[in-house]
Amino acid sequence: MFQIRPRSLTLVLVLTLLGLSLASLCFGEAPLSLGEVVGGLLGTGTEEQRLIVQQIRLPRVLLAWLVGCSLGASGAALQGLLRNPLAEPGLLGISASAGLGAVVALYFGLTALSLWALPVAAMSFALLATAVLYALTRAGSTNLTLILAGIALSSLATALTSLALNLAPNPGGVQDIVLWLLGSIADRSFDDVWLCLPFVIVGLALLLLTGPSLDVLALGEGEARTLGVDLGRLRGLIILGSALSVGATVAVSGAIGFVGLVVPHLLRRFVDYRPGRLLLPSALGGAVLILAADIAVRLLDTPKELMLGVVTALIGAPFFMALVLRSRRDML
Amino acid sequence: MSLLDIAGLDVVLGGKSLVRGLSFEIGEGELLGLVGPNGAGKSTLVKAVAQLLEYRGEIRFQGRPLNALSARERARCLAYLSQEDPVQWPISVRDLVGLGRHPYRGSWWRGAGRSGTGDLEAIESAMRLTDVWRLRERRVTELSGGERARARLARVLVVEAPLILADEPVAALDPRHQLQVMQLLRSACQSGRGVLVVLHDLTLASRFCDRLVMMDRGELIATGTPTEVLTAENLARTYGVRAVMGEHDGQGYVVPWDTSEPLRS
Amino acid sequence: MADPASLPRVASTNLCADLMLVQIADPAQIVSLSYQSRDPRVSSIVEVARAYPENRGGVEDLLYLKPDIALVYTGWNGRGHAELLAGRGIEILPLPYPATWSDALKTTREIAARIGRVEAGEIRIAEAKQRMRELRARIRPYRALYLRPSGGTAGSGTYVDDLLRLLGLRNVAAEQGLSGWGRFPLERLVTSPPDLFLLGYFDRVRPGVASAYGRHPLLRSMLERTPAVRVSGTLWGCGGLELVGAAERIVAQIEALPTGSGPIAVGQP
Repeated sequence: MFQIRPRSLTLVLVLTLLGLSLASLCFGEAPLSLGEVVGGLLGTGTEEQRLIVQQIRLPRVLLAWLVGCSLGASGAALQGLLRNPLAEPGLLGISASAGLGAVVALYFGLTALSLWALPVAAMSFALLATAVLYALTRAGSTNLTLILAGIALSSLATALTSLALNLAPNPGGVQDIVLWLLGSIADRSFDDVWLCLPFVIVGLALLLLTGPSLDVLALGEGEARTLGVDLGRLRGLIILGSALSVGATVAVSGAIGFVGLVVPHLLRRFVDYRPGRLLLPSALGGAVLILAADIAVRLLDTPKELMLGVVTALIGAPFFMALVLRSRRDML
Repeated sequence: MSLLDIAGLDVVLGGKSLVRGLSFEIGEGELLGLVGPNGAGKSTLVKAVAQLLEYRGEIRFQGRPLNALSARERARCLAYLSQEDPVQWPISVRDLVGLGRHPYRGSWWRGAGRSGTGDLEAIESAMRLTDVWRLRERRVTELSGGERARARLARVLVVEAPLILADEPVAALDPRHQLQVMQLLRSACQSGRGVLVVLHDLTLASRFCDRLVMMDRGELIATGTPTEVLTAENLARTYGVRAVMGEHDGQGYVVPWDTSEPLRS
Repeated sequence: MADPASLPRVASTNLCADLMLVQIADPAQIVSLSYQSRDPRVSSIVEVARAYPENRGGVEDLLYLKPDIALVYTGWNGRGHAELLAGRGIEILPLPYPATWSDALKTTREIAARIGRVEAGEIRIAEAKQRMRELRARIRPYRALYLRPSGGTAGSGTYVDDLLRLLGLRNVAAEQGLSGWGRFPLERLVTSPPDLFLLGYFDRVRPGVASAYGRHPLLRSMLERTPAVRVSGTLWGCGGLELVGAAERIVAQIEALPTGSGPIAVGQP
């Protein structure tokens, strides 16, 4: 087995991320050469090249970073907190709830009042969902009941989203929203990046703060508390951090599933299985996965461009099944 | 001077009174065994002392109310080994033991995740003491029951806390490992530490503990030396057993031998 | 003309069928129109529709209304009950979504035949054809791009493409090799910009993600530089005979464009 130390793992991930970002800037409808892309990026190219690279492709790359970091770090943090490798923003219903919040904001026209209504509604609903999960952990439920509660929340949010769509005034809008719910970062602009950036940064900072406490939590809640871990604060940080980062990115990208599940699982062995050390690599790895999937979406020769969320689900769902099969004997 | 004073301790959980009016103390260098049948409230008591449960009454550590200390101070005063073995992730044995140094780590932005030299020495000596140093690179999840129990004990010792609370540390261990763990707890007391250990094995309790506290249904039944506590009457009353008692090398021992009609209920 | 009482009684379950029906049927033979035709946001026949009971297109609606003929569209949910309805003397007439202007004429003719209004149908068709002919070649052959806020466009094989050609416009999407109702990638806007935008449903651009494309600053800046006309939201969606009304409005807007091609303000709602 090959060994990568945590520090060099971070380096490897950062380099991969930069490489894929450059690759992502190179792929698109317009056939631009690497030189033209660099020229467009630095502002030395023609106006056409600058527009394509700076206004169409660059926001897409940045959003891939934000979405991937949010999902990866939230997945790793939730897995550490719940001490369960199956925990993930999507599975716990956080993404679906954020999606519901966004749809409600669209449906009730809140977005006409302020652009910020969209991420704020998405984050509020994500927070509500995680708070329900938090209340359950306070009541002393097991992780299994927590996951089941997450599935229930997820179904409820999906059902209410469908209800909102059924009630929606115009059919054209419904199709747009359905497509958006599948998750995509195509055609986004810097407006969208700015819309979620502040929340993602704050959310990620909160999540990364929890590293050392998450490590200690591996011992179980009782022993962790006697070692000075403030469990309430830890839960609060992770719930708030996930809700902010996931809610804000769902508001601009739709729900993209399974990233928070797959990435921490793949990287765990390289950080000696320590849940706290897994946070930063998972954030970077999430961005790598989203970028790679988003490039695949453009490279795959399908009549219409695939949705990003569909691709991550195609990768993630079999992965999830395998994890469930493997952990069934431990969990149930 | 006593290390830990417990006075009038009541624990109510979900409307049920699990510990009622318990008072006892642990002195420096003392190994105190907590015995009693299933459901006596032993684990509840230990968790209350570890500040994991709400309680009424007084728990004082070196004269100061334990719940008045900050979480960080408290973490350096008492080390708790829980009954369950819930380590979820296959972290290495060295990392597991290292987690015991958490109360001494700097702030997040100063040397996060890094261990100082003092930490490394403490970790190595605790691991050598419990004979898990050679297992340091192994995954916790790959260990045998005995190895894991010793690794977890090393994790507790490395805290270097004056008070150790161990909830059934020898359950599910073979005789050799049971003796090993009890000897380790015994030797931990030599440096002036106090140990509160929950035991089901009355033979080990009589063999290793300085004093015993016997509980039943949340109440204190008896406290004193093992000979004073493990009397035929007390055993019949709380456990409903008859025991063989004897003496070896000038030390009393108790071996539960037969069931008897309990005196109560 | 036949006695209205002897004509089959017809119910329509879908807005697009409603639009066709009210044009060719005798008012007395219409039993019911779909609820959508009363919604001013999508319907151009709100006033007419108020005169009839509304239905939601369910099998129960039809059983209750007891028409002789029910107009439904491909994808109607009640398909499984066609036999049941036939047993009650209700004939289901499925209509295809038209892909061309001549499809629309053909469907109109078919409905007219089935509901006993051949003559009225032919009059309507002749009138629509005449109106469409008058629009031909009145405007410059702009390179036009049809866009919806989601980035959706219409390539070859769609009634939009057909209509653009009838009006003498060039469809940029079809020229770029797109067929059907696909998306027009933002990057192609930069590489092959149209000289006229045909905007569908842009009055519904909300600051939501659903229309990230429609809000993209790049598109916004192009709209400031490129003339744009809006298609009528209520005459556009079905591609039936009423399309001629939409076409007239498009041509009128293009003719009203300042000579040269000054910017057209496309404001937010």
